[in-house]
Amino acid sequence: MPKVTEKVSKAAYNALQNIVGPEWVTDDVAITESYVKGGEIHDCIYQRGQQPPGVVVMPKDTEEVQKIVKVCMRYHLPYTPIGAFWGVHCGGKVPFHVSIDLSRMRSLEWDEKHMVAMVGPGQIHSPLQAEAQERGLYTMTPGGGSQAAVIGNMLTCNYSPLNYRLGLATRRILGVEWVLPNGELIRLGSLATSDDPYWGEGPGPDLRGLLRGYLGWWGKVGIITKMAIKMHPLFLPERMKPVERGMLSTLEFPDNRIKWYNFRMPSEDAMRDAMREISRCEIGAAVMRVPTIWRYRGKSRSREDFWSKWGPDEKKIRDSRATSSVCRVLLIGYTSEEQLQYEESVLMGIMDEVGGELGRTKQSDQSWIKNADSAGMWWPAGGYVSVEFVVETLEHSFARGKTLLAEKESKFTPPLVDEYGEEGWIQMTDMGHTSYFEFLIQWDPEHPLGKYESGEYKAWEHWVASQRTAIDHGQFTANIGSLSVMGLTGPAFGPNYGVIYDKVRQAVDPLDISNPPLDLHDRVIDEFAPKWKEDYDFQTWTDLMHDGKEWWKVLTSRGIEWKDCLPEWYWDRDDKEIG
Amino acid sequence: MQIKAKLAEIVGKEHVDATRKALLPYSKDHSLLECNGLADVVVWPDDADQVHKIVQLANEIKMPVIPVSSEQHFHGSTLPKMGGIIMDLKRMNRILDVDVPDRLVRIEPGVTWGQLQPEMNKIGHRVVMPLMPLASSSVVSSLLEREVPTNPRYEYGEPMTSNEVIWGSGMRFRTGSASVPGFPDKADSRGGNPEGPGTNWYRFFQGAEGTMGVVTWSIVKFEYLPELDKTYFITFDKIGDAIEPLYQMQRRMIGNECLLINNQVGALIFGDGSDKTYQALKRQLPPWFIVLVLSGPPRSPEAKLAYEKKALDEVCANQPTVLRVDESLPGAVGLERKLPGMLRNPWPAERTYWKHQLKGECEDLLFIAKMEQAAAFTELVTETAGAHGYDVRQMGVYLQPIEQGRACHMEYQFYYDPEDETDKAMVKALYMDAAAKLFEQGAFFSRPYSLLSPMVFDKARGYTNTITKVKEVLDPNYIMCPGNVCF
Ligand SMILES: Cc1cc2nc3c(=O)[nH]c(=O)nc-3n(C[C@H](O)[C@H](O)[C@H](O)COP(=O)(O)OP(=O)(O)OC[C@H]3O[C@@H](n4cnc5c(N)ncnc54)[C@H](O)[C@@H]3O)c2cc1C
Ligand SMILES: Cc1cc2nc3c(=O)[nH]c(=O)nc-3n(C[C@H](O)[C@H](O)[C@H](O)COP(=O)(O)OP(=O)(O)OC[C@H]3O[C@@H](n4cnc5c(N)ncnc54)[C@H](O)[C@@H]3O)c2cc1C
Repeated sequence: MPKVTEKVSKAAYNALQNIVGPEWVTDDVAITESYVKGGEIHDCIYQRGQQPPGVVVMPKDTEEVQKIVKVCMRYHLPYTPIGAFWGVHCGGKVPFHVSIDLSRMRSLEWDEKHMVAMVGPGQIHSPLQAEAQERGLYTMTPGGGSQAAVIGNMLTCNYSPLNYRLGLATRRILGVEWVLPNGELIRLGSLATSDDPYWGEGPGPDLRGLLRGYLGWWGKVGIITKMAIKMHPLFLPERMKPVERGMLSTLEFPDNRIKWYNFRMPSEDAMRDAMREISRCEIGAAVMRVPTIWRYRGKSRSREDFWSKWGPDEKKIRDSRATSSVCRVLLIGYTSEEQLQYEESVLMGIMDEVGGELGRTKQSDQSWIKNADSAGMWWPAGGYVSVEFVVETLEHSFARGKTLLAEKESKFTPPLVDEYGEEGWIQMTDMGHTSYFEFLIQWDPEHPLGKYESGEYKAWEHWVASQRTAIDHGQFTANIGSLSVMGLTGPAFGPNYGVIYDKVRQAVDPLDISNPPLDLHDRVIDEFAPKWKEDYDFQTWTDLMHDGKEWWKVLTSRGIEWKDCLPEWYWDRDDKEIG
Repeated sequence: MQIKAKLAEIVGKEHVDATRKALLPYSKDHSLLECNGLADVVVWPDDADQVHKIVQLANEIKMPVIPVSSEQHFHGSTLPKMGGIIMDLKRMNRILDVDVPDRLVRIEPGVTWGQLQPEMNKIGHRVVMPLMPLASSSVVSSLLEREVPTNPRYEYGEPMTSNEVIWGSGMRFRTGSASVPGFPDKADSRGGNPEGPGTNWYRFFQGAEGTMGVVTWSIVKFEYLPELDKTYFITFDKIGDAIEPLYQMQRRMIGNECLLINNQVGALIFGDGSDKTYQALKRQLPPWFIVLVLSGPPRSPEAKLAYEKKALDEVCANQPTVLRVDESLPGAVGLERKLPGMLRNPWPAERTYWKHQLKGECEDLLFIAKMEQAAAFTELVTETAGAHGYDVRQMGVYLQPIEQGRACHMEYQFYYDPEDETDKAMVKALYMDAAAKLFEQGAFFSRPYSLLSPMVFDKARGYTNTITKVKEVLDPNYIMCPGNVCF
């Protein structure tokens, strides 16, 4: 743990004020209290243990950020970088930290010809996408909403159906300007030796490796003050028109150039075959399997509306389970109208062979340009979290879905909402070489059960269980790195990635002050430990990390050499503390 | 015990050699870097276990390790600058798994382009690849070096996914989704996701010239082998004239393989190796031309070619600098049919490598740029080469668009006689001079090999400090390839 200064001293406060001016720093409780939860307003499990900052400070440029970081170093003040705070990890987990709100840094610079946009950390996706369209370009807006900061999102997630063509976010990051936790300002890619950010690699070994992994570090390796990202060609002869649909508004597609197709599939095998063949033929801009519950959620107008339909339809859904999921495909004529016609004929040919039956769908933006779905869609039941959102191969997506569903149905439903046997959202990524899988769990926070039976507590358990099942089955998971129980995943993956992960972090943050701690904190887990004792054979978080040897028995039983999975420190560290 | 004996215990005594005769070839390569010393010993491990043990041993005795995967080398990265153990991985040449549904193949570092591509073709696929490498070049090294493929079509780019690496520290590690317990036999993961665990480790050994660890296998994407191809040659008087048409074609996503070359490069790759055809081609080929291959996928290939050709015609009609759009090249009859195959395979093993045909050796000056800089850069390089006494009519120029033209790989080729010290010294001087001028004008040397690394890393000081911190975690004793990159 960092050496936390008990309180932000007057001297530290004055130093911060000298940097940004009195208008842009405060310790007013009315304001600091609002920096705990962010956009994910209620009942998200990751928020536990988050507390208000001692100070909020709002720098205007890189120089101020660098000075603030140096003040934090001088006074050993842990700090948390904040983009748009739509996510949940900007709430600090140690008392009296400094919230560095970057929302004033909203620059947006274009190199249209080379399809590059360079943004400041306060810039959000919505204007980026809008300005891109004016330039015959597009980018990937996260499924969860265009109100998220571009940098915050590129550093942590950036997943949507468009990953099919555009691939992983990390491969779309170009030149980067970065204030490290040790106060040093560095520049990556072509920015390292010039002022032009158009290229991301190197020089030499690529430091973008330190920016994030499958997910990000959630603010634990300093502050990115500028990031150039790849834009992609999307030339449309006319602009997409905004249209009103009752309370919602959306963008209407010019359907000679962009078009959705929904197919009802006769079986899971047909779904697989179609998704694979579409990818192999390199057609389409997005290919996915939409589970029935996502469609109910997408359409519900309120919590009551959701429950009034989902419950009564149980039998119908269970009966048609194998065939209820929709294969949904987006085609775009990037080159010309004829491209769309060509791709449509290939798509129809594939669907004919596997027995896909074309249904109706609206020709408007659902989830990649405007993203009006972001807030409502996620909470129809009241409480929600994604316990998994991982990229691996298509077969892995199906397997991971079955594993998580079985676990959930046998141990956690109710109080978690019954999905009636459905296994989650699957979409193709990297032109079908891989596939994205997401598994949401939902609950009604007003469910009349006791504390340890409530949805939120069960959600926590399911989240830990998801890490354990990943280890058991050799499945990849989003719950690695700082979003995981390091005692579980640290030794198992790599193996022993936990050791070098922590070491590289320490190398750039020797004081451990950039959004500590490294992983989810013991006080959060300890709260659940008594209940988990029987299931998981550990008592406290500390036990889990250092003495809970039970997890490797699972590996041994599957014939995996346990010693390969254990770090040396697991056995012989005597300080009993990571970091 | 002597180092040789200790290594023999690991790999068997027939797979280790410390004689001068064995070591000498490893002190020479195709680069201009001089290497006076010899390595201490060369060892040929057969699997990752042996590699692991060798790296652990090297840590105990603090001896450098230089992993070598290809047979011939171009950039001085494998020269034993401070002695040590040459770890030649050519015995590790197994194609470990071919995953057809996900189009992923797992290969050891000794697998060459000459070996992999025919195997892929047998199942109707291919790995996208750089311009006509040596058949004996390692595929894994090519990916580690971030060599640029001739096919700029894929937005998601980057064919490499997960890897196994033995870090310089001696830790054995799997990256990406291959990091799951039990990979590959007892796991659901196929290693398709390059990222994590935790952070993106693979980025640290890419572009690292062996300074971080030894990769013992990599997983690589492969794509369908087109059913139908049609090659077009779009010709120009000057390099500058080709740029705007290239931007337009790329932006509209027309075609698969696409590159711009001058007649010098054309004469070398299209000829039969004889001086006569070389001279004839140099006379007849247009000064500059774009090679563009339109390809048809497994279904309705003709329809795809038709809409792409229509778009190509639209682009060219609006570009006054386009001289001609041809289906064949003067002086190279029938080439249009062979070219797609040539671009999807390495240079034939039995023939002298195209870059070496003219004078025996070739120095490549290569970097990343924007296409709009190509004309000015070419002028600058031509002027510099001329000033050093190089015959600029024999300068090869190759521009490779990357990802729909957002950037490009530029390559200037200078041919010289390795036996002629004056010739060699002249090329070296012009190379250094041109590189310094280009660097000043904003060329980005993303892989600054030996001769250029001080120039680049001195300027990128903050970057260099930080990458050194990462190095200290992954290779704390600095045993991996000392003298390369900035270490
Ligand atoms: C309901 C819901 C649905 C979601 N769905 C999706 C989805 O479909 N796809 C997707 O990609 N994401 C999704 N997300 C995740 C989320 O939208 C973004 O990835 C994330 O919130 C980033 O944007 P932000 O502006 O909120 O960043 P913040 O929340 O402000 O920051 C995210 C993290 O990065 C750190 N950070 C922010 N800025 C910087 C910086 N400049 N330098 C260093 N560290 C920084 C912060 O400390 C924090 O830990 C979803 C989130 C929610 C709540
Ligand atoms: C949290 C969440 C995130 C989401 N993110 C995305 C996203 O990123 N991208 C995205 O595109 N969507 C996303 N969705 C789903 C999206 O909002 C739509 O609900 C979904 O794509 C279905 O679209 P639709 O309205 O055309 O289909 P529906 O309204 O369900 O169906 C339209 C028509 O299709 C036909 N149909 C119905 N069932 C079948 C069937 N089994 N087979 C064939 N045809 C059938 C019927 O004729 C029906 O009238 C998300 C949903 C949720 C809950």
